[in-house]
Amino acid sequence: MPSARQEPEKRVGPLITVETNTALERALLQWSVEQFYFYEASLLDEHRYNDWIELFSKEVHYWAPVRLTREGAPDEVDDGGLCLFDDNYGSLELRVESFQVKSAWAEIPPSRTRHLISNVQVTWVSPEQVCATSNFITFRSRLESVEHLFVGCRHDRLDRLADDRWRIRERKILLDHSSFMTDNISVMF
Amino acid sequence: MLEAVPLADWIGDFKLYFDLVFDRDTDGVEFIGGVHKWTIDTNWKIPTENFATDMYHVAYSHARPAEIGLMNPLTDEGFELSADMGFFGHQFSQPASMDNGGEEPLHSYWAMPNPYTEFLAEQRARIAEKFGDPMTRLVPGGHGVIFPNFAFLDIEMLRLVRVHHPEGPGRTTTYQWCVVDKSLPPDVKDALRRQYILTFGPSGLLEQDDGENFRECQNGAAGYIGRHLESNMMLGLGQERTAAEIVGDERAPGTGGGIWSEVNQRRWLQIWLDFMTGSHAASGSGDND
Repeated sequence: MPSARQEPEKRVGPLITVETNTALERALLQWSVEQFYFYEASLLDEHRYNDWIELFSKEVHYWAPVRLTREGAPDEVDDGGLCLFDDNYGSLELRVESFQVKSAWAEIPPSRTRHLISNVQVTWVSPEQVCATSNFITFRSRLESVEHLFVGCRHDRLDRLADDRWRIRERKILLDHSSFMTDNISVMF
Repeated sequence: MLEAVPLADWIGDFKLYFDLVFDRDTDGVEFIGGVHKWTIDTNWKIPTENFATDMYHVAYSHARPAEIGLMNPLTDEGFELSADMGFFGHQFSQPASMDNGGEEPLHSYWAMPNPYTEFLAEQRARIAEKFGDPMTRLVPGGHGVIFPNFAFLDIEMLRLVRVHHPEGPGRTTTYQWCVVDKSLPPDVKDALRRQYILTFGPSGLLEQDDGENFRECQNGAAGYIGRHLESNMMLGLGQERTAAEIVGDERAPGTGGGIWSEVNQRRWLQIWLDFMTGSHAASGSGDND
């Protein structure tokens, strides 16, 4: 079973497997995954963090390695190096809880955010899981005139539940920034 | 040609404290791969003062991790001291003689399970052998600065070093690295790396709020009212003592005060002012071509 972190090297053209052998099945799968991402984005933008974390598997690995500037392999990242996030479900819960207490100065009052999710591609399918990649632009407007922009992509492995519902089992976030022109990173992706 | 001053000359007597932070493992320290870089709309002196001196922001700026049970409140017992170009301070940790097989948190500060504790207990035992108990209350050390803009943090759940690089009067880029002891097992290094990211990386549950506050300190100070108010920096004024008295060991160099003191801030800014006016002995003749 491929890990999300091994994408996109394993991506090999249009998605055709025994699980999605008709155009209609592929279209429905694409629709289902996209709707899941749009719903997830709305939860973040509405600061519904307790609902957001419900979308993650208890075994989740949620991580965003720092990007290195080096010749030849800009998307290559190191396991065990510095990350912007490197969370399991427990530390993700701490983050979610920490946004909602009365001393969360970085988000009091809450920032206005907009998560735009696009370029969704389902890259691998099995009866239990799919892998998907998506691009994002996240805009953060804060207080009077503070504005931050985060751009990147996500490589996900999703557990398939019944009725077009999904759980995020692994999310690798590649933010396309080496140095961040933001006072902090207090939004999730 | 202006030659760089050798590090040993620059930090002078502070070397003793610097070694307690970075040279207490049998094999020395190593850096986790990668660097955190981010730019805050603030003057470089604001985060630097914070690392040189500021224990009293912890209870307020960092009420968030306390609210969710990550950290315990600070005690009133601690130190803020400086020697030559080095600045250092924190709550005292308990004396090494009270280490309980690595079971008890040393600062009683980080409330989560911490696999580093037992290794820190070994290091503290070695330091106790060399210096006796009083000096072990400085291990792990706390926050620090080497003038002008090199900073470090050495607390029971992580160690970091950083540079506050000025990008003009109202903008600062921080370059920050995670440091671990070389002899630690890989899983303990990994735990320290994660604890660092969760707390003091740019998305960290403490660093998020520092970034917000540093920017808003700058905004407040730059406005009309802010420009016409004098800042009060008198905390602990007149209560300065020798480091030997504060620590309880004659070998502790420098001077300072207790945990709630702006003594380091006053001395750091005095050195800065002396450099800006060319009156500091180390500031050179201005012949730097």
